[in-house]
Amino acid sequence: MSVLEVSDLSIRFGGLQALQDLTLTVNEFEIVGLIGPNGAGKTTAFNCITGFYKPDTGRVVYRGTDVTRTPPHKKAAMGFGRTFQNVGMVKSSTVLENLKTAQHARVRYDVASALLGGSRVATEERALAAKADAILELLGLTEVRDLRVGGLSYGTLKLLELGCALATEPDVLLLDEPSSGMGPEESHQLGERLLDLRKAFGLTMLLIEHHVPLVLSVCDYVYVLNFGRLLAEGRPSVIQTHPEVVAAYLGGEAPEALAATEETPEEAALDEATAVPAPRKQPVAKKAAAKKSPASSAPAKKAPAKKAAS
Amino acid sequence: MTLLALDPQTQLGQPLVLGIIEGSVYGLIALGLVLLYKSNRIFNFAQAEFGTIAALTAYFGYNGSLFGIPWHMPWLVAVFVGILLGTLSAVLTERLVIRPLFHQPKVIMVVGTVGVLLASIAVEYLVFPTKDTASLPSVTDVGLTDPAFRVGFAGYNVAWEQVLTLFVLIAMALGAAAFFRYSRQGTAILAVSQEPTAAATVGISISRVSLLTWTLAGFLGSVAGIVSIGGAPLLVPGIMTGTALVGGITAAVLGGVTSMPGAFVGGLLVGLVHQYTQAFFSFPGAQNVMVGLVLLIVLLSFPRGLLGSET
Amino acid sequence: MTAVAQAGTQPGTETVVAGSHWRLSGTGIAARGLAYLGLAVVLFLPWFATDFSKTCSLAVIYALMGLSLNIVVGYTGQLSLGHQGFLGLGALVTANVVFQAHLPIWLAMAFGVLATTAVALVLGLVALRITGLYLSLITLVFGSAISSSLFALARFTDNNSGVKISRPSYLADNGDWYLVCVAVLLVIFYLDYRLTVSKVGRALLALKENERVAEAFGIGVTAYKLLAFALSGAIAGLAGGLYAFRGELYSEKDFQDPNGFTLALLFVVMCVVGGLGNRLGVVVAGLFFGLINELLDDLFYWHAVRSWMQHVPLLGSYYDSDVKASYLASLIGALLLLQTLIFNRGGLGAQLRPIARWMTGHRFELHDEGGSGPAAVEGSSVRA
Repeated sequence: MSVLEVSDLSIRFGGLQALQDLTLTVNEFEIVGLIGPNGAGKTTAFNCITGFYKPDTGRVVYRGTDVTRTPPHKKAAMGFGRTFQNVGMVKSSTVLENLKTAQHARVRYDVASALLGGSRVATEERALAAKADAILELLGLTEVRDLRVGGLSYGTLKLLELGCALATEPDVLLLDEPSSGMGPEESHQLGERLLDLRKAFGLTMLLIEHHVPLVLSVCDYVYVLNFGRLLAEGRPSVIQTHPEVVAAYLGGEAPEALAATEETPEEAALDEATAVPAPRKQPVAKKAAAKKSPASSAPAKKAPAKKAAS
Repeated sequence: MTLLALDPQTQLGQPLVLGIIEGSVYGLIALGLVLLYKSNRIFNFAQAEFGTIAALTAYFGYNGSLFGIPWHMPWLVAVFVGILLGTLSAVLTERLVIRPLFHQPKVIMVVGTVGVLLASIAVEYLVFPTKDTASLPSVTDVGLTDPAFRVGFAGYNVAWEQVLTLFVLIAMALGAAAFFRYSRQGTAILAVSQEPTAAATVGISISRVSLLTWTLAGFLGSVAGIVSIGGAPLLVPGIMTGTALVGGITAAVLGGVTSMPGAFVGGLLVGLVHQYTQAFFSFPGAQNVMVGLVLLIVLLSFPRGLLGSET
Repeated sequence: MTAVAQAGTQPGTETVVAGSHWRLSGTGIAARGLAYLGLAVVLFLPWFATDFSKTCSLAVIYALMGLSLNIVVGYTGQLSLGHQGFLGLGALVTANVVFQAHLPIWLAMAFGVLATTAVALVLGLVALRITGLYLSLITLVFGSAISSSLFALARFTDNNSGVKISRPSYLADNGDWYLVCVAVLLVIFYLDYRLTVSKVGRALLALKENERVAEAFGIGVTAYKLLAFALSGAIAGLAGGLYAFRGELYSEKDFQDPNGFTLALLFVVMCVVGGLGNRLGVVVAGLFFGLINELLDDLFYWHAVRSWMQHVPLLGSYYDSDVKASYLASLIGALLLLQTLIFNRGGLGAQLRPIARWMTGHRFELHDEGGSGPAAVEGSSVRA
C-alpha cells in the first residue's frame, strides 16, 4: 500500500520554477531516497509535502486522504515526522525539553487542564519524560539529556533531531540530509540505525541525502531531481549507472561517490541480480515479503512507546 | 507656527496647508528614523524626544532662567544652542546605550531606546522647571518675519511663518538627499547599511558611521522639534513624543522603513489624514484612530510599505 | 558512540546533578516553612494600614500587568507598547457595568476580562500577519488610539466627570481590597507557573524560537499565538477591574497620553528589569515600581531632606517648584532598565534564582547552570 503519493507537484517562486510536475510514491516500509545536485529542489519538495509551502499545482495524498492543503502542524499530528537541513530544534532548551516538546501532538491533556494542573497532567508529564528517556537510550545519547541544545556538536544534533522526529510518533519520516556533518564511519552507522528504526517502529521514510553510499545502502528506491524536475527514478543500482544522473552530477563530488559504491560487495551482487531495469512493483513485492517481520509486527510500533510510558 | 490655532474657516485649503506643514514635521522625524533603521535595523523610540530637548533648551536659553542664571540669548542663538543640545543627546545615546548593545538581539536595542526616551523625559522634568506654562516663541513672535503677511491658497491665508517653516522642512529633506548622494560620509553610511561586511573590508569604520548616523538623526529630530514647537502654546517635557512620535514612526513605516523619499511622502500622508480627519470628524481621538486604520490597512496589504524596496 | 564522546568534550556543558541525590533535612523543611511564613506575614502587613494598603494594591496591580505583558514579551518575543490600553479597557468595562447595569462586582470584573480578551484576540490576529518592530508600532498606535477615543466617550465617562463606583460593604476597607488583589496575584502566579511547565510553555518557547520547528512538532502557530495574546489580555483585564475598584473611580485620564504612554513604557521596564520571561523577577519588579512613587514622595516630604535640599546650590531652586517624585521614579526606572540591558541581561529574576530554588526545596547554590524551564529566556527575537 502506498503511504505517500505525490502527483504533478509544481511551485514557482517569482521567476524561478523551483519544482515542476514532481510525481513520486512512497510505499509502506520503504526507504525512498530523493537525491540531486544543490538547488535541484529537494528541500522545496519536502516543504511542499510537509505543508510548509503551498504548491501551485499538484496533489499530496497520504494513505488515501488528500493532504495537499493541510497545514504542517496537522500533518505532524497525522504522522508526518520531519527533520531540517539546518538542525530544527529549540536551541535554548535542554535536550529533554526538546524531546518533550516534540511529543506535543501526542500529549493527552488540554490547555485548560495544563493551566490548572493536577495528577493527570503530572502523570502525563512523567510519561513524556519517560518516552524521551527511552528515545535517548535508543540513540545512545542519555548523557546529554539535561544539556542545552545550543552547546552540542553538529553530529550529535543531527542524531538528536532524528530523536525528536521519532518522538512525534511518526508514521512516515522525512529526513533532510540526516548524515550532514558526519564522517563516513558515522554515516555508515546512521544507515544501520535507519534500517533498525524501520524495523523497530514500522516506519516509512523519504530521505534527502548527499552522501551517495548511504543512499545506495539503505534506499529501496531513488528519485533524482535536477532543476526542479524529475530526472530519473529507479532502484539504487539502476540509478547509479544512469547516464543522465551521472551527467547531472558531473563537476560535483558525486561521481566519485557513485563509483565508490562498488566497494560494497553485497550491493554489487544485488546490482547484477537486477541489472535489467525492473518495473517498480517487483522489488516492492520482494521487499514486502522480505520485511514481513515489521509488517506483521505492526502493533509493535506502539510497543516501545507503551513500554516507555510504564 | 500655528498648528493648533485654527481659523474658523473650514475650506479644504486649510487642512491641506496645515496637513502639509504637520506632515513635513512627521516626515523629518521619519527621515531620522529611516536613517537609524538603515544603520542599526531598529526603531528609535527616543527620536521625537530629541526635539523636545532642543525646544526646551531653546526656550530656557531665550527667556528662561536655568541653574539660577537668566540667560536671555538672542532667539537665533537660543535655537542654535537648542539644536546643538538635541543633537548631543543623540550622540550620547549612541555612545552610552546603542554601542554597548551593538551585538545584542534587536529587540534589546529597541528596548534600550525606550529606556533613553523614559530617561530623557525624566531628566527634562528634573532639569527644566516648567511650573509656569512655557512656550517657545515663533519666528513671527520675535519679529523676524512680518506678521501681517498672508498668501491666499485654496481659500486659506497662509502666514509668512508657515511658508518659512515649509521652506525649512523641504530644504532639510533635500539637504539630506544631497548629503547621501554626493558626500563621502553619506555614501559611507549607505554602504554600511547595505553591506556592513564589505564596507568594513574597504576600510569604512562601522563605529564612526554609526556615530555619524546618530548625529544626523539627532539633528533632524531637533530641527523638527524647534519647528513644530515654536509658536505652539504649550511646551512641556515629553511633548514631541506625545504629538509626533507615533506620526513619525507611522510615516517611516508607510514609506517602507528604508526609503528616505518614502519617509517624507509617508509624513505628508499622515499629516493630511490628521488634518482632514480633524476637519470632518469630531469624535474623541478621531485622528489617532484614523492614522491607526491607515497604518493597519497599508501594513496588511503592502507589508513593505508604499515605497519600500529592501526586504 | 563518537557523537556522544564529542558532546561530552564540548566546553561549558557539564551535566546538572544539583539536587539529584540530595534530600531535604528536617531543619531544611523547617527553615523553608519559616521563610514562607515570613513572606506571608510581609504580604499581610499592609492590611493594617489603610492608606498604605491602597498604594500596595497598586503595586500588586502593576505586578499583574507585569505578568500580563511578560506573556507577550517574554514568552512570545513580541514587544507590546500598548498594554495600558488593556488595563484601561478592563477598568472601563468593569466600572461601567457596575455603574450602568448595577451588576455585582464579580460579574462586572468578568465582563471586563471578557472585553479585554476579545480585543487581545483581535490584536493577536494582527500579530499573526505582522511581527517584530511593526507589531510594536501597531501596539503603540493601539494604546494611544483606544485611550484617546473609546475611553473618552461621554457615554463611558459619565459625561466626562469620571465613573464613580463603590465596593460592596464587606470590602469597603482598602486593606480588604488589597488582600483581594494579593489573592488574584497568587492565583495568576500559579497559572503562569503551570503554563511554563506544561505543553503550553514548551509550545510558546518553540514558536518564539522557530515557527517551522514548532510546526514540525505539531504545534499550531495560530492557536498558540492567539492563546498567548488572549491570556495576556485576560490578565490585564482582571488588573483593570482591580484598578477601577481600588480607587472606586474610572477616569480616562489615567490611561490617556501622556500618562498612558508612560504607563505602557513602565510595564516594559518592569518586564525587562525583572528579567524577560522570569515570572518571579517580573512580579518583584512590578511591586517595586508600584511602590517607588509613594516611597520617594514620602522621602521628598520628609522635613530633614526638604531643608537640606534647599541649601544645595543648583537643586535648591528646583525643590520648591513642581519637581515630583514620579519623575525621579521614572529616571530610576530608566536607569535600571539600561543597566539591566547592558550589564545584567537576566534581570532581577536571575539574581533571585538561587533564593527561588532554595524556597522550592533545592540546595542553595549561587551558580546554577541548569534550571532551563521554558521560562529561561536568553534574548528574544523581533523580526522586522
